This record gives sequence, C-alpha cells and structure tokens, in this order.
Amino acid sequence: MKKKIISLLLVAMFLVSLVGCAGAEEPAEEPAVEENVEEPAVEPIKVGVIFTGSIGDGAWNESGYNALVKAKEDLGIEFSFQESVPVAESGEVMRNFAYEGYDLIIAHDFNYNDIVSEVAPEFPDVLFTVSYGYQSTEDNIAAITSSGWHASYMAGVLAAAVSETEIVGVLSATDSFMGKRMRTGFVNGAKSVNPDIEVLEAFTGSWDDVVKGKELVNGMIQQGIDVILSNSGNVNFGVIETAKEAGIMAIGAPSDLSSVAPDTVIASAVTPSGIYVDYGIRQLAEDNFDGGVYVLGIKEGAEDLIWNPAFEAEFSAEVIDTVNAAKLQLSNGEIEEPVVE
Amino acid sequence: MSSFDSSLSRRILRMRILVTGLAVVVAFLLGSALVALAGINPLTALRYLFSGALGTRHGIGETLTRFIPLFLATLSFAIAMKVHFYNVGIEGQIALGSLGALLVGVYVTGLPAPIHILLCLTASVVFGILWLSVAGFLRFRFGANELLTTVMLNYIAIYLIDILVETVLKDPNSLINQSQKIAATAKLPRIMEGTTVHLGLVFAAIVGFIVYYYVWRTPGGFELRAVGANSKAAKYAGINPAKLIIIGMIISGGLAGLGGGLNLLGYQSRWVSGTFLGYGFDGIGAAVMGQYHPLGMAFSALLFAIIRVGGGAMQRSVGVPYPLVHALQGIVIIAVIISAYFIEKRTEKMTKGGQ
Amino acid sequence: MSNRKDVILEIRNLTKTFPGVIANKDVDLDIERGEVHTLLGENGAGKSTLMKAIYGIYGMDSGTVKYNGNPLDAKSPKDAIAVGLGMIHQHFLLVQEFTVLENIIMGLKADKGIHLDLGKHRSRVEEIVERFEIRLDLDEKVKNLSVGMQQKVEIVKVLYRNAKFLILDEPTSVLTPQESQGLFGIIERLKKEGATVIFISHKLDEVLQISDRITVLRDGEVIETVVNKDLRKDDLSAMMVGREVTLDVDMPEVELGPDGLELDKISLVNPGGKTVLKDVSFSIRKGEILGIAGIDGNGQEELAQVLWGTLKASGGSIKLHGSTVDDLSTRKRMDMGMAYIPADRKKEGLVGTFQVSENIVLNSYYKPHFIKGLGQDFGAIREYSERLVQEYNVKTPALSVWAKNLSGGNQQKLILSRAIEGNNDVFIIAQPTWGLDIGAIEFVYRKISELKEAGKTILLISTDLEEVRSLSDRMCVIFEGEVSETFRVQDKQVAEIGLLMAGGKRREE
Repeated sequence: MKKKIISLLLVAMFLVSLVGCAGAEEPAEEPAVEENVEEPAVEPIKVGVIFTGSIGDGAWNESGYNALVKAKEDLGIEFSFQESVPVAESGEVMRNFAYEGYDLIIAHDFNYNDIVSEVAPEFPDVLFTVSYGYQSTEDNIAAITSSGWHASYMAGVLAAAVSETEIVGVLSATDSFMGKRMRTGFVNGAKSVNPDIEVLEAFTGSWDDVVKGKELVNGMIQQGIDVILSNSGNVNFGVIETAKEAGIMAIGAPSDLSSVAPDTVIASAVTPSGIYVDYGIRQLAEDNFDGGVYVLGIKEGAEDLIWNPAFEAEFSAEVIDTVNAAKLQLSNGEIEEPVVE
Repeated sequence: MSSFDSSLSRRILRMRILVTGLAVVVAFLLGSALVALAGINPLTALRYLFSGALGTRHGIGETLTRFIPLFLATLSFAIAMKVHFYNVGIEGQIALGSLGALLVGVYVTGLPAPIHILLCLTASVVFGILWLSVAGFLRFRFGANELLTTVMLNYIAIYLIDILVETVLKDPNSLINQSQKIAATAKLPRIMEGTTVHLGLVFAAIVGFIVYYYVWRTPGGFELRAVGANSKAAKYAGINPAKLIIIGMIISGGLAGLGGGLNLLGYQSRWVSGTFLGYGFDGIGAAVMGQYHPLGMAFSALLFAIIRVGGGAMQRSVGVPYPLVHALQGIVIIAVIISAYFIEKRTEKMTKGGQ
Repeated sequence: MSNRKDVILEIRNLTKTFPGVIANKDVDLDIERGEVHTLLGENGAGKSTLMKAIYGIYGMDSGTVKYNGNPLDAKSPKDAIAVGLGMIHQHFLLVQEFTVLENIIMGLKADKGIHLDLGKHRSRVEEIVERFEIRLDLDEKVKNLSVGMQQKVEIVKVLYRNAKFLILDEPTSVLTPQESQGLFGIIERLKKEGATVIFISHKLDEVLQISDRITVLRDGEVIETVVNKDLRKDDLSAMMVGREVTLDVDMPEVELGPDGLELDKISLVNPGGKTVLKDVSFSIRKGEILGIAGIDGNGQEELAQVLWGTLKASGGSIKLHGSTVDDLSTRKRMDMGMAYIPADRKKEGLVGTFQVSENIVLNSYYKPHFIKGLGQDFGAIREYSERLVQEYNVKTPALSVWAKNLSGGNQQKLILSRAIEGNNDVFIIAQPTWGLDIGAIEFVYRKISELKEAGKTILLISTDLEEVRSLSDRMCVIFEGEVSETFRVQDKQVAEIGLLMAGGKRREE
C-alpha cells in the first residue's frame, strides 16, 4: 500500500512540475527589462558580470572585479556578479541577468564567447561584452581583446638589450594560436634590437606542469640563455625558481611577479584584465557602445612592461631608452603584427 | 493484523518525512545564520534563493534542467549503495556518458531523430557502465577499494574528455577548446517554451519509476535489497551475492552515464574543455538526504537543483558569496545525516517486536 | 538470608535500562566473603548485565554498590580492577601471537620508565600458578592452547592483578565436560585461598555442583536467593522460568526409510591451505536424526556450508535422495527439498532490516505463486506470512516489523516456519536453541520431533551435548574436521563422548 502511494506520488510529482511549468507561461520578466531600457538616463547603468572562478583568485578574476568596484566609484554604475560559472551553464546565468533587467552583461572569459553569441540575439536590448573575446556576431556584442603580443614584444626588446650571451628564451603554456603569437612577439622584439640574437622557444602543454617547465628551461640554460620570459600560468613560478638557481634573468607574466624573486625577475610583461571590464562600461557610459571586436594594446593600457624598480635603477640608460622607444612605437602602431603560421 | 500493519508503516513514513523536513529547516536556519554573519539579511537572501529557482518561468526551467542529471546521479548512487558498492565515481561516469552521447551525436549522421537520440543514449549508458566496470574489475580482481578507485577515475575521466576535446574532438572552427555541436537530429527537443527544459525530464521520470519498480516490487529487486542488507543471509537463502553486486553496479553506471547523455543531448550540445558539472558529487548528498528512497530522492534532488539555481540568484541579487551557497548544501547534507540517525533509533523503537 | 555476616559486595536498588528495555530493576543482592555465588537465569534475565553494570562496562542508571563497605561507582573496568574485582568474559581478550606470560603481564604499568622486569614478573606469575594449582606453560603461544587453557590464562591474568573477587561470565559455555570439571577444581582452590567468586550460568547441573548460594534472576529482577542445600533441579528451573517445564523430549518411534542424505569422504581445504574437513562420511535415513556434537569451531560451520552448497568441497561427494548434488547451486539444492537452519540466526538466517514478511519468503520469493506479472505478488506474500506467523506463533506487532527487532525465540520460530513450510524433506539444523529461553526451546524441540515423525531426514549440529543426546537417534563427534564413528546415543557415556570432543586424549589433569 505504502509503496503504491509512493509510486503514484513520484509520478504525480513529475506531472505537477511539468504542468506547473506549462501553466506558468504568462508571468514573465519582460516588463522589468523594458522599464529599465526605456529610462536609461534616470537609472544608473546596471552591469552583470560572469566569472569562471572566484573573485578572490588574486589574478584574472580579481582584477576584473576590482575594475568593477572602481567603475562603481568613478561612474556611479550598479553591478552584481556570479562567480564560478562553468561555460556549460553560463547561458542560463546570462539569461537571468537579462531577465533581471541588466543593461550590460560582461562575460569575463573568452571561453564564454560562443555562448554569448547564442544568447545575445535573444535580448537585442541588452549589451554584451566578452573579455578577451574573439568574435562578435551581433550588434550588441563587443568582444574586447588584446593584441596578445605587445607585452611580449617589449619583453623581447628588454631581453635582447640586456643579454650578454646573445641567447634568450621564451616559454608558453600552449602551442595554440595565442601561444605562438605571444612567442613570436617576443622573437620580433628581440630581433629588433639585435638581429643576430638567438631565441629559443618552447611550450609546456599545460598551465600547471611545473616540473616540465623547469626541465625545458634547464635545457635552454644548458644552451646558454641568460634571459627567459615565461608566460604559462603556475609554471612561471617553477621557471623563476630555476632561473634563480642558475643565476639568469627572468621576465614575469602576465602580472607583476617582481616580488616572487626580486633578484631574478627584472621586469614583468603584464596584461591587466581590469581593462576588459572597464572598456565596455566606459563605452556604454559615454553612450557610444558598438558591436565588434576591439583589440587593445599598450596604448589603451591593456598591456605593458613593468620594471622591477631595483633593476630599473641598475640598468643603463641605454637599455631603458631602448625599451621606452619600443613602447612608443607600439603605441603609435608602427610595429607590424607578428605573423603566426 | 493487516490494518495495524499498514498504520505502523504509515506512522514510520510520517515520522521519517517529519524528521527529515525538520532537519532541512534547521539546516536552512544555520545557513541563514552564516549569511547573516556575512552581513546580508538572510530573509532577503532566502527569498531570492527560492524566487530565483521557482519564482519565474525561466528559473523553474533552469531548476528542472539541472534536476535531470542530478536525479539520475542520485539514483545511481543509491542503487550502488543498495549492494554496498560505494560509487563515488558518478562524476566520471557522467563525463563518460556525455562523451558517448557526444561521439554518436556528432560523428554519426543521417539518422532520423528518434533513432539518433536513442543511439546516443545507448552509447552514454554503455560508456557509463564501462567506466564503472573499471572500478568493479579492480575490486573483484585485486580487491581494490572502490572508494579510492572511483574517485581517481573521476579525475581520469574529466582529464580524458578534456584532452580529447582539446585534440581529436576539437571543433576546427572554434578558437577555444571545445567539441563540435551534436547534430540537430541528436538534440533532445525542448518541452517548455522559452526555457531549457528538455525531453530528458520525461526520460528521468520514467527511469525513476522503473528503478523504483525494480528495486521495491520485483523479485530481482528483492534479491538486490537482500544482498545489500545482509549478503550472508541472502547467500544462505540461495541468492548469488556476486551476481547481484554486478547487477547493481551495471545499473548504477548506466544511470550515471544516462544522466550525462541526457544533459549533453538536451542542454550542453557540446563539451567545452574544463567543464566540471558536479552533479555526481551533489547526487551523493541528495541520495543520502533522500534516504535512498526514490520519492525522497526526487525531492532532495529537486532541492539541490533549487539551491544550485537559487544560489546564483542569491549572489546576483544580494551578493551572497559563492562558497556560502556550497556551505548551505553541505549543512543540509550534514543535518540530514544526523537526522537519519534519529530516524533509525526512532524506527527501531516503533517496530520493537513482541517477546 | 541468614544473619548478615561478612558481606563483601552489597547491591541496593540497582536499575539499568537500555533504550526500550529494562535490563535490571531494583536489584538487591549481598555477596558474602569467600563464597561461590551463582547468578542463575535464562538468557536475557539480566545476569551478565548486572555484573557488567557493577564492573563499569555499562554503568548503572540508579542504585548503590558497596564493596568492602566502601561505595563503588566504577566508571570503567579500570576502577573495578583497582579495588580488587576481576571479570572473565565469555569471549577472551587474548593476543593469539603472544605467549601466556606476555598475555598475563600485558597492559601492566612499567616498573621503571618503559622497562618491564620480565624476570620479576615471571617469578610472581609462577608463584600464583603454583598456589592455585593451575597448570600452564608460560612460554607457549596462546594460539596453540585449547579454549579451556585460554580460560585459565584469563583467570591467572585477573589473579595477577590482585583480584580477590572473581566474576565468571558463563565460563563453561565453551568447555568440554572435562574442561568444566577442571575449571571447578580451580574455583574450589580459589575459594580455599579466600577469594569470592560469582559464577554466572544457566546450566543447572553445574550450578548445583559448585555453588554455595544461588540467586535466581528473571526478567531483570531477583526472584530469590537460596542456599545450595537439598535443592532439586526442578525447583531451580521453575524459579528461572516462572512455571514448571519439562525439557525431556519424547522422540517418536519412526520407521526409518532409505538414506535421505549421504556424505562420502567430504574434505575441505581452506584458502589458507589448512584442512578444515577431512574425509567426513555418514548417512542419514528418512525419519532419522543424526546429531553431531563437538566444541565450536571444529568444522561444524564449514560442514553445514558444504552441504548447503555455499562452500565447495575439495573432495568427496554428497548425495541427496540418492542423487549427487556436488555441482548444484544452493538454489538447486533447495528446489530438491533441502533446508538449512543456520547457527547464527541474526547474521545468517535473517535479513535484519527486512520486514518479517520479507524474511518469511526469503527462500521462496521467486516461486511462481509469489509473482504477478513482472513484480512480486504482495497479496499472496502477505497471506502466506500471516498464516505462518499465526501457525508458528511468531509474536510480532506487525508483518512490517524489522526482523532484527524480534526476540531470539520469535526469530527462530520464523526461520523454522519457512524451512518447514517449504515442503522440504532434508534438514540441516545448526545450533537450533542457542540463546533461546526455555519456552522457545520447548517449541523448537517439538517441531524437530514433528519433522522426525513426518519421516524427514535430519542432521542436527550442536555444541550443546545434552541437546544432541536427547534429540538424536545416532550421533557422532566432530573434532578438528574429522568425525568419529556414529553410535547410538545410549551406547556411550557422557564422559566418553567428552573425551571424543577433546580429541580422544586427555588434555588436562
């Protein structure tokens, strides 16, 4: 008897939930959205942000979050966010933001780009930006990305300027288009200073395989490098450690790593992520938001080379000038984009 | 005797529901206290939790969509528990089930939709079973504890599918590491307009009923439960425990794989590298909370789906930190485990036999 | 109670409850210095619980205990040992790989730092062993000792901790008759040396032999304390049970049929390579009961399992109704009319968390009359269960009650009912009355005699020699996996059987 009741209830539960949903077709959130869109001048701009990880990660997500806080202070926007959203489920979070009347939805990871392309057409009145995104398929999508090579180009310039062995190295995590572009930027920068310099390239195939990173860099050291740029996530720390042990110079990335080994890291090729959050908000605030792919570089502050102050003081004026000159050239768009096959 | 009989069953059932319900309420109170400590009005947060998950059409849709793989993971764990196989590898079996559906969904084409869907789901069931049978083989051949092997297999599964998606299965037209989308014929149709709820919900309901019927109402299920409750006595009653353990494992792996398959065909449509669904782990908690009873588990899986979806709403609306949402789920599980102890004591008292 | 002379242990108003059960209620008891005092009662009467409460294993809910005039409130056995109590449990707490001496001194405080002065301890232990005339080889490993010897180790262990007051919890339940007599010798000796002994038992013969005074407990309460003088067994058992009982079974005379069960040189080597059964051969005719006596752990369990098909014999052959069943599964043997009543009801006979009705069909749930369509026919199962519960007088508040919540007697009735009602004709019955109260024992014996009357083939395996002797037509003794020749019960004296149980040679004295 008990079993019979339970089985009936089980079936009933599903039916009720189905019917319940079918019946709930009318009440929708659209009015709220319209209200907000109709009176954009009165209401503060509402920004919803989606992060792949925690806003306390001390890296990409945290600097994105900090940019939000700053935008709130500077521009008076309102924002809310959702953390640790897997790509597979991000579409629902975007839709939620849209239904809840947000004006701008920032998908703060390039992995969200395809999902944004799917969701954006459903909400033509809502604007979307994708941090480090690669495609814009709608008018309401702005994919904001960086050159991907400006910072490494400058690192290459610096490496060549300070190398005594005339052999330098660059390490990336992947051999993807982006990895290759970053490395080629470094090669071009180095060659621009010293056409005869030899640049050794390698990739770990992982952002976390510290052991492999150390092995690769040790191999390069055997071949005589005296400067290494490593832009491969957690592997960087292993690379810097190896450089320190071997007494060679290292350039950190993608944030300022000088403090990790103040006697080894001479500078850092940084790509601060806050700019991607900030850029879309500013465009909207200035009322000139446009869809499309925006490539930001040194000029916009999306990339830079940050000195370790100790070394900046130590290097010759010539070195400093060479780097600054390259920076100006990049800013002016005088340097050709590296060709990646 | 018979009237006395069913009234006792009813009283026990009522007591179980009451105590479990009370535990959930207590858990929510504790969770609220945590939210309050974070400086957020817990009543507002709770309101958003439930309105986010159930208050709008879209919210309900999202909740039900999450419910589908979660419920199957819950059933999967429960079935394995019935034969004392601690399948904590559901996460991996879901991933493999997704992979099975993905392979057939992308690379097999030209089939009519119903056949294509069934073929995909068959693949996901088979993949789920195969993945669990690795742990099964290690246990029966080498006596390896499945608690360890299944956990390890979770990681292997997730890395495996990521590696495949980054290499041979990578969508050549995509800049990021993701597979191609499954063919249109493999997609499970949506059943609630304007939401992501798909036909998988009906599959889940049917499968839930079949599992219930099998376990509680058939001679095979009787054997399964007997082996789980006392394999020695079952053996002496002429039942082959090893056979039943294998059957339980097959069903468990198949259910988990099916959960992954349904989610992929109905919702994800592709696999993005780095995806961690977490349904397998949540399913363990939901099974414990549902006290391994199909109806109880339907409710607990629903509650967990609500917390998942409503947790996002809580964060978006009042900024409840993401870890707190997880903590709330943890508190619910712990409270229910504690309540299960009271329920057992109480049941024992209520069923104390005559001398 | 006569004039209060020298009371060493005084218990007043002791009550101990477990959830839902009152184990002891308002117990008053005086133990006099230097006496052997027996606590007599059926299983579940509260004898052991009472002693464990005093000894600090359980603690008590209310009441007072005085030892040597001082209040004793033992929170753990340590407290009790400190004042001079010592308890020998039914299950020994010995390390098998250690020597006798090591076991005796194990857990003692070091003399200096972490150093144990072995020489000093050895001479002190030797002194005790001599004084109490206990023969023990101190350097032998415990695993090589018989159960009786291990018990002696436990006794010496307690004496070595200066116990003046010994509690022996059912000490004879694991002993052969000869070993029991040896134990009684030691108890006499202890008494002479001024020790006080509490002896817990439900076996009337030995109680009458050894006790100075006897306190009968029933349902957790003290019924009466009597001086052991001119007492008859009937008086004691009436006090224990609360009514007159007769356990003398009148087995019907039955015309014996052809062989129902034949064993030919059954042997079994366990996975560790040890021979557990060796060339076991016997046959049982229809209408006959063959009893196998022997001390627990001599291969009885394995023999039953080989017969039942849950263990595969390494050699030999079994015939059921004349046809070989060696390669048949348990289920097939069941279908051929074999039934098994296992020794351990809770672990082997029942699924504790299954309902009574589910347990009743545990061996028949798959039969066509319990199936409807794809599922089980719960109506038919209920009907069948109701009938069995009524006919076998299984006391349960409902069919849905978990079997583990039934009393032992009712559990056994349930198991018997499903075996007997299954239309079976060869029965393997192991330890059918272990732990049962006298009422339930009567019931079990009656059912067994009915089976015999109906011409069934019955193998009875029991460690209770009296049981085997009173129920069987023929019997044999199993020792270390070998069975003796079968003999008619009346052809051998108890002492002679006892010798067989101990391996045919005198182990002690």
